[in-house]
Amino acid sequence: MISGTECACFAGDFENWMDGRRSAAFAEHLAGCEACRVALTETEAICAEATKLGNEPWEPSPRIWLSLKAQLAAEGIIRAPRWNWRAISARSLPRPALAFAYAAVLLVAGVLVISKANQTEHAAWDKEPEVASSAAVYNTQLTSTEDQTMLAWSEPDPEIAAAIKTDLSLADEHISLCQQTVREQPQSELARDYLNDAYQQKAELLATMVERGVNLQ
Amino acid sequence: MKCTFPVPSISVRALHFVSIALLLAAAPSFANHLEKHFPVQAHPVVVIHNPSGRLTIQSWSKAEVQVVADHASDEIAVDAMQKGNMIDVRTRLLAQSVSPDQLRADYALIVPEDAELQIHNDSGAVQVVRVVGDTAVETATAPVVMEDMGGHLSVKTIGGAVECTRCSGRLEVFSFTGNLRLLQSHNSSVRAFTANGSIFFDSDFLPNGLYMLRTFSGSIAVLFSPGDSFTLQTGSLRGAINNEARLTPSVRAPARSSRFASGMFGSNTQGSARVEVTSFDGTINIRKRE
Repeated sequence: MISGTECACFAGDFENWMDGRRSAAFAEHLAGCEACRVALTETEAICAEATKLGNEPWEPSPRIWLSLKAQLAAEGIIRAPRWNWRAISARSLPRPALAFAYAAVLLVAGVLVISKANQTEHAAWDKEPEVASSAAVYNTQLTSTEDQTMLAWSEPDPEIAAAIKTDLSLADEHISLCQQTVREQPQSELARDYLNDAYQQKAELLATMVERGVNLQ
Repeated sequence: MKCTFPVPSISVRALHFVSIALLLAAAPSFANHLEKHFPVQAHPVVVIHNPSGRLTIQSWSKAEVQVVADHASDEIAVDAMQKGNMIDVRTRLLAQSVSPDQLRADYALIVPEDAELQIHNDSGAVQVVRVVGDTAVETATAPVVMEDMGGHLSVKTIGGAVECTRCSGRLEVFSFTGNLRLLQSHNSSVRAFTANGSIFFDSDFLPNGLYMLRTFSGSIAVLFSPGDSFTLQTGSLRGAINNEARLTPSVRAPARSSRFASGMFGSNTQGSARVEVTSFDGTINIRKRE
């Protein structure tokens, strides 16, 4: 297994790989690094699903991209010019699998935004089997990401652990409530906005858990 | 005439001694103390990373950053280092397993007014006063208090309350359960979201300013003066809206948008600032100032 530090050396190559510019050095690294292979497979799967959902290739909204970029920078995968306090910490070694698990959650939320944008104003969610089915896929992905995060999570501060657990269940309640509202009011943009917010809340919480795990190592 | 001054008696001296001893005893005892001074140039960047404890930052006119840190436990260490024009302050764990009490380190910093701050302080408390550089704060449960701030302020917290008084510039606040209070501020842009906390906004609406206040289940209160110029768009999917502003035209749930199940849209005076207040099931109160 190759260490996280070595994985970080290939951060730029990872981005290039996803853009179709594939270097031999990174291919060689992938062959020996299971963490990077898993991360790459998951990300490719999500992008493929996202592409299926929309008619055009997946393009994240600026908001999602900024969040994703910030998180990748925070994990040391890409460089951020200003907000880089985690990146400068020698102790905060990147953990590619968790970083990309988080990226997956953000992509889920991003895809929901795209799906919202792609739908016509009068289309009902429950009348669009493809969208509903994709939403189910993303819900499954979200749950899987949460499971991975919970397995790796170790929070020394009971007060913070309790707060995060409470907020995670609240986020789940919000998601459920919003899904119900979207079904009841399929034309309500606000309901869709709040559903997206609820997914974002959960993604942010999972990201916080991952970050704290890294920073307290 | 000869003036004489009374000499303190022994009992008074003893009383002074006991008072000082009591004061010293009341102060928190920190086994480890650090104080460092760093000369800096204009717009220094100060980065603080502290898992737990009280952090206070204020400004002065010197081109210098002063860091004072105290902690009781030997299981952690505090570092303050300079890298060019950046000061990096952080708490390090020296043991694999550290209890929450042992994690605690308190910091008091004094920075130049134009410093840029990047703060991560999970639990405890954060207070920042009179800094006009960009400031980013992340906490888990620590409340954040900011006063007389400028620049771009960004606060992200899980459960900490956020209070911003007399702040200017752009403000972005994101919280899950913390209450947000924005007081006497004059921000050109405010984006505030709390899922379960409440929002209280008692600040100016600047011309062409943008104010987006959003909760999931918490209530939102916005105070305005009759002469304030703003366009208000407000909506709640399941909550009530109480509005005291005389909006023109006062249109309930504009037909052009299905965005709000129950909502209002209209202008107060010229309507130069844009105010968007939304909640999922929280109550929204748009109230005149007393």
